[in-house]
Amino acid sequence: MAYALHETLEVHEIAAFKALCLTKSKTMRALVSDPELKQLMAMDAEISTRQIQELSAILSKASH
Amino acid sequence: MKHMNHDYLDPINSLHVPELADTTFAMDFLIRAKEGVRNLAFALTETASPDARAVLRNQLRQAIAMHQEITELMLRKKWFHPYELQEQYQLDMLSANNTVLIGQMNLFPDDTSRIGMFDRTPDDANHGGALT
Repeated sequence: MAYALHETLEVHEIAAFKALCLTKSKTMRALVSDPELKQLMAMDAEISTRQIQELSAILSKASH
Repeated sequence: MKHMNHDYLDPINSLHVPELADTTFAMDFLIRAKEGVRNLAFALTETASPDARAVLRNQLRQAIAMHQEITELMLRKKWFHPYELQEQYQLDMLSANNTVLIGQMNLFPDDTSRIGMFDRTPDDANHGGALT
């Protein structure tokens, strides 16, 4: 299915933001000492990975 | 950290740093969660395709849930005082002052430039150095 250009751009922007968030949660977790915060960041990294996969599925459909 | 201490190896500088660092990481985490909720809500209002909307709506729900988790954690740890303005003000002033002190430190006095090792842009490897 084809998407409108502005939709693709919107999803692209969300994907870029999510990629940044994933990088931060993944790298900063090593510096955190509080176990609960650490666990929440690990959970966020996991969820963000799944979300980026969903977004890139949309983007790859849009590029055809 | 009342005034600047120029001896960075002085253990006094490490006092309470892990706690201070955790509050900073949590605040960064909270800001990202907040921004995520706003970005997704905005994107959703600009999107018409049903399957794209379904993905965005789902992710918006997850983003709101994550924001709530972080807020509750920060409240529990007393890193964040939304109801006690005076306490929050003091916390903000403390972190602002510490940040200014860190900003004034000459943390990397020697030249750490790696120019010469990274003199090419990352794409050069793919295009043989020529801009297309």
